[in-house]
Amino acid sequence: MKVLAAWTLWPDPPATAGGDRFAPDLVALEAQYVAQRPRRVGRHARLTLVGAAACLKESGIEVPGARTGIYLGSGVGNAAEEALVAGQVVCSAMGVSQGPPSPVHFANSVSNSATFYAARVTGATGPNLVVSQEEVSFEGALMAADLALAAGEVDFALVGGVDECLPDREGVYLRIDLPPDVVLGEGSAWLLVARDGERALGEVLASFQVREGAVIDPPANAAVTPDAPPVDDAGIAWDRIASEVARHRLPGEPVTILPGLRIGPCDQSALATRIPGATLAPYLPRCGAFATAAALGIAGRFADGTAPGLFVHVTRCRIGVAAVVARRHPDAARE
Amino acid sequence: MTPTPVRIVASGVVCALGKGRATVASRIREGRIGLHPITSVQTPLAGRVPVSQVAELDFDPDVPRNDQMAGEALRQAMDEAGMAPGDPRLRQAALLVGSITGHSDRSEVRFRRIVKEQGAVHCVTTEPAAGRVATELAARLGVQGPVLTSCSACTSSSNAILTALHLLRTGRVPRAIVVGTDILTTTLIHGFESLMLLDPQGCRPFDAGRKGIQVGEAAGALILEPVAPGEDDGAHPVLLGGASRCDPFHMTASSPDGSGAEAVMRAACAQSGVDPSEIVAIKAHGTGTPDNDAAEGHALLRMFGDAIPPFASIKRYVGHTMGAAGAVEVTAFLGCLQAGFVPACAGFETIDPDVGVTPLREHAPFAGGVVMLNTFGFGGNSVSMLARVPGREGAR
Repeated sequence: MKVLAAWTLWPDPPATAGGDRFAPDLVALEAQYVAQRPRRVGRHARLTLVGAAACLKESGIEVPGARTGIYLGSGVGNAAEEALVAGQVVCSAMGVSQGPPSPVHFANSVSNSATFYAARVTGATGPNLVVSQEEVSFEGALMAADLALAAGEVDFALVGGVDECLPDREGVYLRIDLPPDVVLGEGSAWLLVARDGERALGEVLASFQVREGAVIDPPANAAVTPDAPPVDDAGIAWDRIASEVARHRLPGEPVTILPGLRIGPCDQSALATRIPGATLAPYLPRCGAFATAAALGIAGRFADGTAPGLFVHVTRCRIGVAAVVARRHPDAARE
Repeated sequence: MTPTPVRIVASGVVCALGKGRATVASRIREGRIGLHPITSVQTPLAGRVPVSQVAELDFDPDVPRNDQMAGEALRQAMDEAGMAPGDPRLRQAALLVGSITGHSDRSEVRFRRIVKEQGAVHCVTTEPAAGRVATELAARLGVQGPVLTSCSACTSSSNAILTALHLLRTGRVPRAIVVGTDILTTTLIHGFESLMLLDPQGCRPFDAGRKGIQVGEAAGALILEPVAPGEDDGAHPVLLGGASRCDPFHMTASSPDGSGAEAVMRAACAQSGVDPSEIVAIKAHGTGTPDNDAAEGHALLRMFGDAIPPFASIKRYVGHTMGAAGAVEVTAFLGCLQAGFVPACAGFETIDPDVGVTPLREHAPFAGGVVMLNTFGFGGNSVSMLARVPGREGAR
């Protein structure tokens, strides 16, 4: 799967030691990329449609709408509006203060409202899929897009990862099982992909999940912190990932390991020892933790032309480890 | 080249009409309607709006309802396929789930407690999102292949079926398990009430007097395997292909002229190598809302002219089961076909002169052939699939 374009929206400011990280104000970006912003949509939808529209516009590529799909990974989806509507409904049903839910809020709280608006602003009327598979939602969206391309269902796909940083820290921590001292983040990151592309930024070579020996024991998971040793022996997963990297690595090619959620120092070390000469490039300190942080890690690598070479992104989730092996071409190779 | 067909080797369903494909088909044949008063959630609408609620499962209140319904539907499918948890065939499988409600029943219970204890109106969702249902199932079954949850409103599990088709056809896995599951929640019921889309009489798909949906809960499960050339045993339904599209006309309505729904049906036929003239029956989405049924009816006219194959919505039997609708209705509808009949479109009485289509008024005999399976949803999501279905189940 060729990556034709990448666009990322990182939290700003990029490096804060304490508080949680929020993506920049979207108003200016909407003015730049969205011709007509839908009214009364929430932040999750705004992050989504700005990202999809910006990725497509900045690519400079005219895509055929009916042959272009949108594949969004989102770990907790439109949680803010869902909670708002659910709160209104429960209170209303119990006869407490608030009136019935607003029909607009209810419609916009539907799981795929963000991608509906993204389809509207980009004109992409192919498949419109939201993948919500906890911490590997972006990887799942990438897999779904790859399959649709391979099956000939689409010629192009916009693949994104979007999660918003909710002000209710408790909800975020509990929903994705993060310890309370982790700095939270949010972001919107998108790739425009196709089966072929002569001037591609690079390519996604493999995307897979490994369960054996890598499953987090749910009760123990609450104690996992980035500095703690892994709670299990994920050796089988690391071997599989290293083998996949070796299969795709060109002679002398640099390899970078992007450690995603729950890939702590012990995991990083275990991986690095299996991939000779690999360098580590942690990105979570820049974006904070959120369910689809992987999208920023991966799309960020494609958007940044200064570090060509093979890279592997790894996330650990409840059902194992998800890995993406990809290559960023040197910019010179595209000219 | 015609893409590899995929066989439905086993399936299961639990819905308002009961448990099991054969039971549900038998009750549809009897004309039983899955309408019940609301008891699974607390709401002042309980006496005014009937729903399609699962009544034949002994629910454990401490376990998320979706986990229990999905587990039951999957148990039936695994029994039919002769599989048990940990079976090596499950280890190699992919698991594709379609669901929008996940564990939200737990959230609502907690919200109620907070409101009751604190009078608070600010609610925070702490329960896992929809993907947790798949996570739990994968761990329980020992599934080692890809796990993915589609959350695309009412097409969620139909999109899961399409993803399964792609996985099987590209040879990434030898087998795929698809589960669609969604529960009734206070939020859904009141949300549709706020949109004025609940019909107090239950849904009446394509009828001139239709007023809205009959919200329901259910789970459906399918086990899929590719059919090697020359190996179709002719005994199982075979998915020939399908397509998914977005019709971005409006967040809650498709293009009223039917062009969006027509586009996905034509794409599905092309992708499956099927000429529309080959289709002998259609499972319509048919929600009973004025907008959906008008758009879908116009799409059928655009596609088939005055030769629309026999078609029906089965939502008055099983309810509109949200993201589960694809897996549930495919299982139940194919169950009817395999029992030898195309189900009547219950709830339909009077033709809508503004649309001009007439679904089946009575059950019709089915002797086998190619059928179309449609699912549409909020956000313009549209899925159409084609299947070749043998005649009477048991003939093999």
